[in-house]
Amino acid sequence: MTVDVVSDRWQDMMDSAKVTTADYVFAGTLTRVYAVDSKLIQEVEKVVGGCRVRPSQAQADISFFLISEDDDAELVRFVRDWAAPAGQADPVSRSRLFTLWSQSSWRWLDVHTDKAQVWSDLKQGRAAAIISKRGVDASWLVGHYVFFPLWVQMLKGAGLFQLHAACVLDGDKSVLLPGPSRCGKSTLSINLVRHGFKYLSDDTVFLQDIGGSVVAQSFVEDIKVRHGTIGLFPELGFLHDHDGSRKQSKRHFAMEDVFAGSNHDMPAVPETIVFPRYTGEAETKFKPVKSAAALANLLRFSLFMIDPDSRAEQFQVLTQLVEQARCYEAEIGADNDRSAHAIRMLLEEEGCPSGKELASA
Amino acid sequence: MVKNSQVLEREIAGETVLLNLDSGNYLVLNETGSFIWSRLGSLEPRQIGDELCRQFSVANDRAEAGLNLFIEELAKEGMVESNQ
Repeated sequence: MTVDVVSDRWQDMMDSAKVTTADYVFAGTLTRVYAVDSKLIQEVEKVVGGCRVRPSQAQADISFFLISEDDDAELVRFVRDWAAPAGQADPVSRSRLFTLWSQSSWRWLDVHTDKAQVWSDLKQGRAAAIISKRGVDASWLVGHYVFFPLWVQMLKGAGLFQLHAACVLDGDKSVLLPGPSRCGKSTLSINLVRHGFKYLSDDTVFLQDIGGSVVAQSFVEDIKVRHGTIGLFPELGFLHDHDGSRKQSKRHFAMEDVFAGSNHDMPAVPETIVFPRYTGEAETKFKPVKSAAALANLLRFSLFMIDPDSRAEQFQVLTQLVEQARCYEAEIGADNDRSAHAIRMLLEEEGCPSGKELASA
Repeated sequence: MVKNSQVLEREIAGETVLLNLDSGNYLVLNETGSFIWSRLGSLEPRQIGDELCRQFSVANDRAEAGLNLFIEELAKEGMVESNQ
């Protein structure tokens, strides 16, 4: 990462007494988050809190500055001047949540059109966001839609590629569970942890090529579950609203709080990939998936394939992953003991367990 | 038609995955599709049709119709482009 020291006012501004910081180390990459309003750091903490480390003097690989438009006018002006080289370009992606632009080493986002603007310069390893009052009020948005998307882009510089997947480990064998929202990733990963598996991630893993093997980097976040999932596990009963109502669509908990000792914070090499679909039926069924079809599925779940400059490297990592792993589709049934046993058999055996084998579990 | 230079291809266990780096579109080609893809650009469509007939024991008109549809699909996804 290169920084023009002569014209670099960034560090002076960040060192200002008005700004507080928090340091996070993920997969060896140090991210330093700066904010005037410490509430903004608390929101980032909800996403990367598991990576928090003590502040140090070490130079950050990624610097991320969060500012409200109502903060000090000089800081707001500084961010706008710093981001000016991003310039104009056609958007590379639009969704209901944000629009992404890309030009040379700059990536920038409009979040919900008017709630925040976020810029990053991948070459400098720096990002800054100006968040509107409406954005600050929608506090959940700060971590997940202001910080996370461009942080993911910046991690690509360290060869870390995000995949929408859960990951758990049994002994030294890990299984990756990629899939869209509501396919049953959380339900299955909670069930597996309940049966003694270790927990690496519930919704997002970062894949990295280390010495020719693709590893999944543990990314421990709070798990978000709906009431249907809570009802499947007696350990989660405390998440029901005390008055028995279902006011909130999702409840959050930390896996480690419920299943002590379950977190695994080391990387794992996935040798099995299961694309889960929770059916709630009596039986759990597996079907092998050809590697090419598995690769196409993984492309669907790699949200940030949208960035053209890193597509080739990301494609290479995903290809390597399906070549090193056995791939299956699974219809996950309601019998938690049997589905956990079935996944364990997949990890131990060369092939799908038959219905008869599962029935005798 | 020739292969788009912005398309990455990976052959895995007899099937091929194509990724257009510009658009992000991707396609999975089965054994027959991979057979055709591997010959695109080096053989004329008519020659590919003849090879399809021999390799997969299909009638000439059926092979030709299938080949044309397949190339249309590749063009629609930006995997091939006209060499005119």
